[in-house]
Amino acid sequence: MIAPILLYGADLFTPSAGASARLNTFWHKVQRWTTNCFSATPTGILAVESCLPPVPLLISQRPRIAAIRVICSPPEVNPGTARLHPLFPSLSTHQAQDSSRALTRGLISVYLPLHWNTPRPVPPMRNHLPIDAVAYRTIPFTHGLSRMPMINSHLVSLALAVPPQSLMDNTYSALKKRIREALLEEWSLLFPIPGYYHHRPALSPRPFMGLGKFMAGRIHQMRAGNSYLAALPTWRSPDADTACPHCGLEPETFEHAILTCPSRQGTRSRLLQGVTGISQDAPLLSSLPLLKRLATFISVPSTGFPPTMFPPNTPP
Amino acid sequence: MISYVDDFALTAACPSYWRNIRRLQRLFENLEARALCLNVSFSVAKTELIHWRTPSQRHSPKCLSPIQIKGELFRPRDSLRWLGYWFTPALDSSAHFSHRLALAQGAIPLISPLSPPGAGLTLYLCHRLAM
Repeated sequence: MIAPILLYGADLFTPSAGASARLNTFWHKVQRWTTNCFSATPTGILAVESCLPPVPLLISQRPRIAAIRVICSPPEVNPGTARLHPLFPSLSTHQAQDSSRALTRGLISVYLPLHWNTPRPVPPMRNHLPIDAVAYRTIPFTHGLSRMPMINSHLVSLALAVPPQSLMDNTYSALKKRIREALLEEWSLLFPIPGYYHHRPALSPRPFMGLGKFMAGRIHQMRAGNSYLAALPTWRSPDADTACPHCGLEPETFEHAILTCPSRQGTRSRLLQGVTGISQDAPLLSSLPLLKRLATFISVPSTGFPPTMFPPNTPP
Repeated sequence: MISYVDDFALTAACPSYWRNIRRLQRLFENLEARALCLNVSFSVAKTELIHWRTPSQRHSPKCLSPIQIKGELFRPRDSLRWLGYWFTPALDSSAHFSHRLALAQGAIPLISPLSPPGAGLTLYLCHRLAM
Protein backbone atom coordinates (compact mmCIF):
# COMPACT_ATOMS: atom_id res chain seq x y z
CA MET A 1 0.00 0.00 0.00
CA ILE A 2 2.75 2.47 0.93
CA ALA A 3 5.21 1.54 -1.83
CA PRO A 4 2.65 1.84 -4.66
CA ILE A 5 1.62 5.27 -3.37
CA LEU A 6 5.20 6.41 -2.93
CA LEU A 7 6.58 5.08 -6.20
CA TYR A 8 3.67 5.69 -8.55
CA GLY A 9 5.17 7.09 -11.73
CA ALA A 10 8.65 5.69 -11.12
CA ASP A 11 8.04 3.55 -14.22
CA LEU A 12 8.50 6.66 -16.36
CA PHE A 13 9.98 9.34 -14.14
CA THR A 14 13.38 9.02 -12.53
CA PRO A 15 13.63 11.04 -9.33
CA SER A 16 16.61 13.30 -8.79
CA ALA A 17 19.22 12.33 -6.21
CA GLY A 18 17.67 14.72 -3.67
CA ALA A 19 14.15 13.43 -4.22
CA SER A 20 15.38 9.86 -4.01
CA ALA A 21 17.10 10.62 -0.69
CA ARG A 22 13.89 12.14 0.72
CA LEU A 23 11.87 9.12 -0.35
CA ASN A 24 14.47 6.83 1.20
CA THR A 25 14.38 8.69 4.51
CA PHE A 26 10.62 8.21 4.67
CA TRP A 27 11.04 4.58 3.63
CA HIS A 28 13.33 4.01 6.63
CA LYS A 29 10.42 4.97 8.88
CA VAL A 30 8.25 2.41 7.16
CA GLN A 31 10.99 -0.22 7.58
CA ARG A 32 11.22 0.63 11.28
CA TRP A 33 7.45 0.37 11.64
CA THR A 34 7.58 -3.04 9.95
CA THR A 35 10.28 -4.42 12.23
CA ASN A 36 10.01 -2.54 15.54
CA CYS A 37 13.77 -1.98 15.32
CA PHE A 38 15.42 0.90 17.16
CA SER A 39 16.24 4.20 15.50
CA ALA A 40 19.92 3.43 16.12
CA THR A 41 19.78 0.32 13.93
CA PRO A 42 21.94 0.84 10.81
CA THR A 43 19.76 1.45 7.78
CA GLY A 44 21.43 -1.34 5.80
CA ILE A 45 20.47 -3.88 8.46
CA LEU A 46 17.03 -2.31 8.83
CA ALA A 47 16.31 -2.90 5.13
CA VAL A 48 17.43 -6.54 5.27
CA GLU A 49 15.46 -7.20 8.46
CA SER A 50 12.28 -5.69 7.07
CA CYS A 51 12.65 -7.41 3.67
CA LEU A 52 11.91 -4.01 2.13
CA PRO A 53 14.60 -3.03 -0.40
CA PRO A 54 16.01 0.50 -0.28
CA VAL A 55 14.13 3.01 -2.40
CA PRO A 56 16.87 3.45 -5.06
CA LEU A 57 16.62 -0.26 -5.83
CA LEU A 58 12.83 -0.16 -6.01
CA ILE A 59 13.08 2.84 -8.33
CA SER A 60 15.43 0.98 -10.64
CA GLN A 61 13.16 -2.09 -10.59
CA ARG A 62 9.96 -0.29 -11.62
CA PRO A 63 11.03 0.64 -15.17
CA ARG A 64 12.24 -2.91 -15.73
CA ILE A 65 8.89 -4.36 -14.69
CA ALA A 66 7.15 -1.83 -16.95
CA ALA A 67 9.45 -2.80 -19.82
CA ILE A 68 8.72 -6.51 -19.63
CA ARG A 69 5.02 -5.71 -19.35
CA VAL A 70 5.30 -3.94 -22.70
CA ILE A 71 7.33 -6.59 -24.51
CA CYS A 72 5.18 -9.45 -23.21
CA SER A 73 1.92 -7.86 -24.34
CA PRO A 74 0.37 -8.80 -27.68
CA PRO A 75 0.97 -5.89 -30.10
CA GLU A 76 -2.67 -6.10 -31.14
CA VAL A 77 -3.65 -5.15 -27.61
CA ASN A 78 -0.90 -2.82 -26.44
CA PRO A 79 -0.14 0.15 -28.74
CA GLY A 80 3.26 0.52 -27.06
CA THR A 81 4.23 -3.03 -28.06
CA ALA A 82 3.12 -2.36 -31.63
CA ARG A 83 5.59 0.53 -31.74
CA LEU A 84 8.63 -1.58 -30.90
CA HIS A 85 11.46 -1.49 -33.40
CA PRO A 86 10.82 -3.64 -36.52
CA LEU A 87 13.94 -5.66 -35.72
CA PHE A 88 12.86 -6.35 -32.14
CA PRO A 89 12.42 -10.14 -32.12
CA SER A 90 8.72 -10.72 -32.06
CA LEU A 91 6.46 -13.50 -33.17
CA SER A 92 3.70 -11.22 -34.19
CA THR A 93 3.56 -9.63 -37.62
CA HIS A 94 1.30 -6.87 -36.36
CA GLN A 95 3.14 -3.58 -36.16
CA ALA A 96 2.33 0.09 -36.16
CA GLN A 97 3.43 2.28 -39.04
CA ASP A 98 7.04 3.33 -38.79
CA SER A 99 6.02 6.97 -38.63
CA SER A 100 3.96 6.17 -35.53
CA ARG A 101 6.89 4.74 -33.61
CA ALA A 102 7.79 8.09 -32.17
CA LEU A 103 6.83 11.71 -32.30
CA THR A 104 9.65 12.42 -34.71
CA ARG A 105 7.87 15.05 -36.76
CA GLY A 106 9.52 18.40 -36.22
CA LEU A 107 12.78 17.05 -34.86
CA ILE A 108 15.90 18.61 -36.30
CA SER A 109 17.45 16.63 -39.12
CA VAL A 110 20.73 15.90 -37.36
CA TYR A 111 18.91 13.94 -34.68
CA LEU A 112 19.55 10.30 -35.39
CA PRO A 113 18.38 8.08 -32.57
CA LEU A 114 20.33 5.00 -31.63
CA HIS A 115 19.31 1.56 -32.80
CA TRP A 116 17.16 -0.11 -30.17
CA ASN A 117 19.81 -2.61 -29.00
CA THR A 118 22.82 -0.27 -29.12
CA PRO A 119 24.21 0.78 -25.74
CA ARG A 120 24.16 4.46 -24.99
CA PRO A 121 27.64 5.97 -25.57
CA VAL A 122 29.45 7.88 -22.85
CA PRO A 123 29.17 10.85 -22.93
CA PRO A 124 25.63 10.42 -24.25
CA MET A 125 25.48 12.01 -27.69
CA ARG A 126 22.45 10.26 -29.08
CA ASN A 127 19.58 8.58 -27.38
CA HIS A 128 17.10 5.85 -28.10
CA LEU A 129 13.56 6.65 -29.01
CA PRO A 130 11.45 6.28 -25.86
CA ILE A 131 9.97 2.93 -26.89
CA ASP A 132 13.42 1.67 -27.94
CA ALA A 133 14.78 2.69 -24.56
CA VAL A 134 12.06 0.52 -23.02
CA ALA A 135 13.05 -2.44 -25.22
CA TYR A 136 16.73 -1.93 -24.45
CA ARG A 137 16.10 -2.31 -20.73
CA THR A 138 14.97 -5.90 -21.25
CA ILE A 139 18.15 -7.14 -22.97
CA PRO A 140 19.97 -8.32 -19.80
CA PHE A 141 16.95 -10.34 -18.71
CA THR A 142 15.98 -11.99 -21.99
CA HIS A 143 19.39 -13.45 -22.79
CA GLY A 144 19.29 -17.24 -23.02
CA LEU A 145 15.70 -17.54 -21.90
CA SER A 146 14.36 -20.54 -23.78
CA ARG A 147 10.74 -19.64 -23.13
CA MET A 148 11.18 -16.12 -24.44
CA PRO A 149 8.55 -16.09 -27.21
CA MET A 150 10.51 -13.64 -29.29
CA ILE A 151 13.35 -16.10 -29.88
CA ASN A 152 11.47 -19.38 -29.75
CA SER A 153 12.13 -20.78 -33.21
CA HIS A 154 9.61 -23.59 -32.75
CA LEU A 155 6.79 -21.08 -32.45
CA VAL A 156 8.15 -18.97 -35.28
CA SER A 157 7.87 -22.00 -37.55
CA LEU A 158 4.24 -22.34 -36.56
CA ALA A 159 3.71 -18.77 -37.75
CA LEU A 160 1.42 -17.88 -34.90
CA ALA A 161 0.02 -14.40 -35.14
CA VAL A 162 -0.36 -14.00 -31.39
CA PRO A 163 1.65 -16.17 -28.99
CA PRO A 164 -0.54 -18.28 -26.71
CA GLN A 165 -1.63 -16.61 -23.48
CA SER A 166 0.01 -19.31 -21.34
CA LEU A 167 3.34 -18.76 -23.08
CA MET A 168 3.15 -15.03 -22.51
CA ASP A 169 2.30 -15.62 -18.85
CA ASN A 170 5.22 -18.02 -18.38
CA THR A 171 7.61 -15.65 -20.10
CA TYR A 172 6.43 -12.75 -18.01
CA SER A 173 6.88 -14.78 -14.81
CA ALA A 174 10.37 -15.91 -15.82
CA LEU A 175 11.45 -12.38 -16.68
CA LYS A 176 9.98 -11.06 -13.45
CA LYS A 177 11.89 -13.69 -11.51
CA ARG A 178 15.12 -12.60 -13.18
CA ILE A 179 14.42 -8.99 -12.29
CA ARG A 180 13.89 -9.99 -8.66
CA GLU A 181 17.18 -11.90 -8.69
CA ALA A 182 18.94 -8.87 -10.18
CA LEU A 183 17.44 -6.71 -7.46
CA LEU A 184 18.75 -9.01 -4.73
CA GLU A 185 22.19 -9.07 -6.35
CA GLU A 186 22.30 -5.27 -6.57
CA TRP A 187 21.09 -5.04 -2.99
CA SER A 188 24.08 -7.06 -1.76
CA LEU A 189 26.54 -5.16 -3.94
CA LEU A 190 25.35 -1.58 -3.62
CA PHE A 191 24.10 -1.54 -0.03
CA PRO A 192 26.71 -3.39 2.05
CA ILE A 193 25.80 -4.32 5.59
CA PRO A 194 28.08 -4.32 8.67
CA GLY A 195 30.28 -7.37 9.02
CA TYR A 196 28.71 -8.53 12.29
CA TYR A 197 25.34 -9.04 10.59
CA HIS A 198 25.17 -12.33 8.71
CA HIS A 199 21.67 -12.48 7.23
CA ARG A 200 21.03 -12.18 3.52
CA PRO A 201 18.57 -9.80 1.82
CA ALA A 202 15.19 -11.30 0.96
CA LEU A 203 12.01 -9.98 -0.56
CA SER A 204 9.58 -12.34 1.17
CA PRO A 205 8.81 -11.74 4.85
CA ARG A 206 10.68 -13.97 7.34
CA PRO A 207 8.61 -16.77 8.85
CA PHE A 208 8.97 -15.39 12.38
CA MET A 209 7.25 -12.18 11.26
CA GLY A 210 4.01 -14.13 11.57
CA LEU A 211 4.44 -14.31 15.35
CA GLY A 212 2.79 -11.70 17.54
CA LYS A 213 4.08 -8.21 16.92
CA PHE A 214 5.80 -7.85 20.28
CA MET A 215 7.66 -11.15 20.03
CA ALA A 216 8.62 -10.75 16.36
CA GLY A 217 9.90 -7.28 17.22
CA ARG A 218 12.16 -8.74 19.96
CA ILE A 219 13.60 -11.23 17.44
CA HIS A 220 14.17 -8.50 14.86
CA GLN A 221 15.96 -6.34 17.42
CA MET A 222 18.18 -9.19 18.63
CA ARG A 223 19.04 -10.29 15.09
CA ALA A 224 19.83 -6.70 14.11
CA GLY A 225 22.33 -6.41 16.96
CA ASN A 226 20.52 -3.49 18.53
CA SER A 227 18.26 -4.60 21.33
CA TYR A 228 17.74 -4.65 25.09
CA LEU A 229 20.24 -7.51 25.48
CA ALA A 230 23.17 -6.43 27.66
CA ALA A 231 25.86 -7.10 25.04
CA LEU A 232 24.02 -5.17 22.33
CA PRO A 233 24.11 -1.67 23.80
CA THR A 234 22.73 1.35 22.05
CA TRP A 235 24.53 4.65 21.62
CA ARG A 236 22.83 5.85 24.79
CA SER A 237 24.79 3.48 27.01
CA PRO A 238 28.05 2.59 25.27
CA ASP A 239 29.86 1.81 28.54
CA ALA A 240 27.18 -0.36 30.13
CA ASP A 241 28.01 -3.77 31.59
CA THR A 242 27.67 -6.35 28.81
CA ALA A 243 27.61 -9.42 31.08
CA CYS A 244 24.48 -11.57 31.02
CA PRO A 245 22.28 -10.46 33.96
CA HIS A 246 21.09 -14.06 34.42
CA CYS A 247 24.40 -15.98 34.59
CA GLY A 248 27.03 -13.22 34.64
CA LEU A 249 29.51 -15.48 32.82
CA GLU A 250 29.49 -14.19 29.26
CA PRO A 251 28.30 -11.16 27.32
CA GLU A 252 24.57 -11.41 26.71
CA THR A 253 24.41 -11.73 22.93
CA PHE A 254 21.52 -13.19 20.90
CA GLU A 255 23.41 -16.48 20.55
CA HIS A 256 24.27 -16.62 24.25
CA ALA A 257 20.69 -15.84 25.32
CA ILE A 258 19.18 -18.51 23.08
CA LEU A 259 21.82 -21.24 22.87
CA THR A 260 24.37 -21.18 25.68
CA CYS A 261 23.19 -19.27 28.77
CA PRO A 262 23.44 -21.82 31.66
CA SER A 263 20.73 -20.15 33.72
CA ARG A 264 18.18 -20.87 30.98
CA GLN A 265 19.27 -24.48 30.50
CA GLY A 266 16.12 -25.97 32.03
CA THR A 267 13.77 -24.04 29.80
CA ARG A 268 16.02 -24.66 26.81
CA SER A 269 16.10 -28.42 27.24
CA ARG A 270 12.31 -28.42 27.55
CA LEU A 271 11.52 -26.15 24.57
CA LEU A 272 14.52 -25.98 22.25
CA GLN A 273 16.10 -29.40 22.56
CA GLY A 274 18.40 -30.14 19.61
CA VAL A 275 18.55 -26.55 18.42
CA THR A 276 22.14 -25.72 17.51
CA GLY A 277 22.04 -22.51 15.47
CA ILE A 278 20.29 -19.21 14.99
CA SER A 279 21.47 -18.47 11.47
CA GLN A 280 19.10 -17.54 8.66
CA ASP A 281 18.91 -21.11 7.35
CA ALA A 282 18.61 -22.73 10.78
CA PRO A 283 15.29 -24.52 11.37
CA LEU A 284 14.76 -22.44 14.52
CA LEU A 285 13.84 -19.37 12.46
CA SER A 286 11.98 -21.16 9.67
CA SER A 287 9.96 -23.98 11.24
CA LEU A 288 6.60 -22.89 12.65
CA PRO A 289 6.54 -25.29 15.68
CA LEU A 290 10.08 -24.27 16.62
CA LEU A 291 9.22 -20.61 16.20
CA LYS A 292 6.33 -20.97 18.64
CA ARG A 293 8.65 -22.64 21.13
CA LEU A 294 11.24 -19.91 20.59
CA ALA A 295 8.59 -17.30 21.36
CA THR A 296 7.77 -19.12 24.62
CA PHE A 297 11.47 -19.47 25.42
CA ILE A 298 12.04 -15.76 24.95
CA SER A 299 8.99 -14.73 26.93
CA VAL A 300 9.57 -16.96 29.97
CA PRO A 301 12.76 -15.22 31.16
CA SER A 302 11.74 -11.99 29.33
CA THR A 303 14.78 -12.08 27.05
CA GLY A 304 15.33 -8.78 25.30
CA PHE A 305 12.29 -7.16 26.87
CA PRO A 306 12.28 -3.40 27.49
CA PRO A 307 13.48 -2.60 31.05
CA THR A 308 10.55 -0.23 31.47
CA MET A 309 8.24 -3.26 31.55
CA PHE A 310 9.61 -4.29 34.95
CA PRO A 311 9.20 -2.53 38.30
CA PRO A 312 12.31 -0.75 39.66
CA ASN A 313 14.93 -2.92 41.47
CA THR A 314 13.58 -6.07 39.83
CA PRO A 315 16.04 -7.97 37.62
CA PRO A 316 14.54 -8.76 34.22
CA MET B 1 -3.86 14.68 -28.89
CA ILE B 2 -3.24 12.05 -26.25
CA SER B 3 -6.15 10.56 -24.37
CA TYR B 4 -6.75 7.91 -21.77
CA VAL B 5 -10.41 6.96 -21.26
CA ASP B 6 -11.98 10.35 -20.46
CA ASP B 7 -8.80 12.37 -19.89
CA PHE B 8 -7.66 14.35 -22.92
CA ALA B 9 -4.43 16.24 -23.45
CA LEU B 10 -4.02 18.58 -26.40
CA THR B 11 -0.44 19.46 -27.27
CA ALA B 12 0.71 22.03 -29.80
CA ALA B 13 4.18 23.28 -30.75
CA CYS B 14 4.77 26.79 -32.10
CA PRO B 15 7.58 29.33 -31.99
CA SER B 16 5.45 31.77 -30.00
CA TYR B 17 3.21 31.47 -26.95
CA TRP B 18 0.48 33.55 -28.57
CA ARG B 19 0.24 31.34 -31.68
CA ASN B 20 0.36 28.28 -29.48
CA ILE B 21 -2.64 29.46 -27.47
CA ARG B 22 -4.57 30.33 -30.63
CA ARG B 23 -3.86 26.91 -32.09
CA LEU B 24 -4.98 25.17 -28.90
CA GLN B 25 -8.22 27.17 -28.95
CA ARG B 26 -8.90 26.12 -32.55
CA LEU B 27 -8.06 22.51 -31.74
CA PHE B 28 -10.52 22.56 -28.89
CA GLU B 29 -13.24 24.05 -31.11
CA ASN B 30 -12.68 21.31 -33.69
CA LEU B 31 -12.72 18.64 -31.06
CA GLU B 32 -15.86 19.98 -29.47
CA ALA B 33 -17.61 20.15 -32.84
CA ARG B 34 -16.79 16.52 -33.51
CA ALA B 35 -17.80 15.47 -30.02
CA LEU B 36 -21.15 17.23 -30.33
CA CYS B 37 -22.01 14.95 -33.26
CA LEU B 38 -21.57 12.03 -30.87
CA ASN B 39 -23.56 13.73 -28.07
CA VAL B 40 -20.39 14.05 -26.03
CA SER B 41 -19.48 17.19 -24.11
CA PHE B 42 -16.39 18.28 -22.22
CA SER B 43 -16.19 19.71 -18.74
CA VAL B 44 -14.45 22.96 -19.61
CA ALA B 45 -14.02 23.93 -15.96
CA LYS B 46 -11.44 21.18 -15.56
CA THR B 47 -9.18 22.64 -18.24
CA GLU B 48 -5.57 23.30 -17.32
CA LEU B 49 -2.84 24.95 -19.40
CA ILE B 50 0.91 24.48 -19.21
CA HIS B 51 3.72 25.62 -21.49
CA TRP B 52 6.55 23.12 -21.86
CA ARG B 53 10.00 24.64 -21.82
CA THR B 54 13.28 23.17 -23.00
CA PRO B 55 16.39 23.59 -20.82
CA SER B 56 17.64 26.34 -23.14
CA GLN B 57 14.43 28.31 -22.50
CA ARG B 58 14.90 28.16 -18.75
CA HIS B 59 15.77 31.85 -18.43
CA SER B 60 13.38 33.19 -21.06
CA PRO B 61 10.34 35.14 -19.79
CA LYS B 62 7.31 33.11 -18.75
CA CYS B 63 4.01 33.47 -20.55
CA LEU B 64 1.16 34.57 -18.31
CA SER B 65 -1.46 35.03 -21.06
CA PRO B 66 -4.55 32.95 -20.44
CA ILE B 67 -6.32 30.72 -22.89
CA GLN B 68 -10.00 31.42 -23.46
CA ILE B 69 -12.31 28.47 -23.89
CA LYS B 70 -16.06 29.00 -24.08
CA GLY B 71 -15.74 32.35 -22.36
CA GLU B 72 -13.65 31.04 -19.49
CA LEU B 73 -10.04 32.07 -18.97
CA PHE B 74 -7.35 29.63 -17.87
CA ARG B 75 -3.92 30.90 -16.94
CA PRO B 76 -0.75 28.79 -17.47
CA ARG B 77 0.20 26.81 -14.40
CA ASP B 78 3.55 25.96 -12.86
CA SER B 79 2.51 22.33 -12.43
CA LEU B 80 -0.50 20.27 -13.33
CA ARG B 81 -1.72 16.79 -12.66
CA TRP B 82 -2.64 14.38 -15.44
CA LEU B 83 -3.27 10.66 -14.91
CA GLY B 84 -1.68 10.88 -11.48
CA TYR B 85 1.53 12.43 -12.79
CA TRP B 86 2.55 15.92 -11.78
CA PHE B 87 4.08 17.75 -14.71
CA THR B 88 6.12 20.94 -14.60
CA PRO B 89 7.09 23.12 -17.58
CA ALA B 90 10.60 21.65 -17.58
CA LEU B 91 9.29 18.07 -17.12
CA ASP B 92 11.15 17.90 -13.84
CA SER B 93 10.25 14.88 -11.71
CA SER B 94 10.78 16.62 -8.34
CA ALA B 95 7.25 18.03 -8.17
CA HIS B 96 5.77 14.62 -8.91
CA PHE B 97 7.76 12.82 -6.24
CA SER B 98 7.16 15.57 -3.68
CA HIS B 99 3.44 14.98 -4.11
CA ARG B 100 3.88 11.21 -3.93
CA LEU B 101 5.88 11.60 -0.71
CA ALA B 102 3.18 13.81 0.81
CA LEU B 103 0.51 11.26 -0.13
CA ALA B 104 2.50 8.38 1.37
CA GLN B 105 3.11 10.37 4.54
CA GLY B 106 -0.61 11.03 4.69
CA ALA B 107 -1.33 7.30 4.53
CA ILE B 108 0.81 6.53 7.57
CA PRO B 109 -1.62 8.01 10.16
CA LEU B 110 -4.36 5.86 8.61
CA ILE B 111 -2.53 2.56 8.98
CA SER B 112 -0.50 3.24 12.11
CA PRO B 113 -3.48 2.79 14.49
CA LEU B 114 -3.83 -0.74 13.11
CA SER B 115 -0.50 -1.61 14.63
CA PRO B 116 0.34 0.32 17.81
CA PRO B 117 3.65 -0.49 19.56
CA GLY B 118 3.70 -4.06 20.81
CA ALA B 119 0.20 -4.94 19.64
CA GLY B 120 -2.10 -5.02 16.64
CA LEU B 121 -1.21 -6.45 13.26
CA THR B 122 1.63 -8.92 12.96
CA LEU B 123 4.82 -7.69 11.33
CA TYR B 124 4.05 -9.98 8.40
CA LEU B 125 0.86 -8.03 7.74
CA CYS B 126 2.72 -4.75 8.29
CA HIS B 127 5.11 -5.85 5.55
CA ARG B 128 2.18 -6.62 3.27
CA LEU B 129 0.77 -3.17 3.96
CA ALA B 130 4.11 -1.55 3.20
CA MET B 131 4.64 -3.32 -0.13
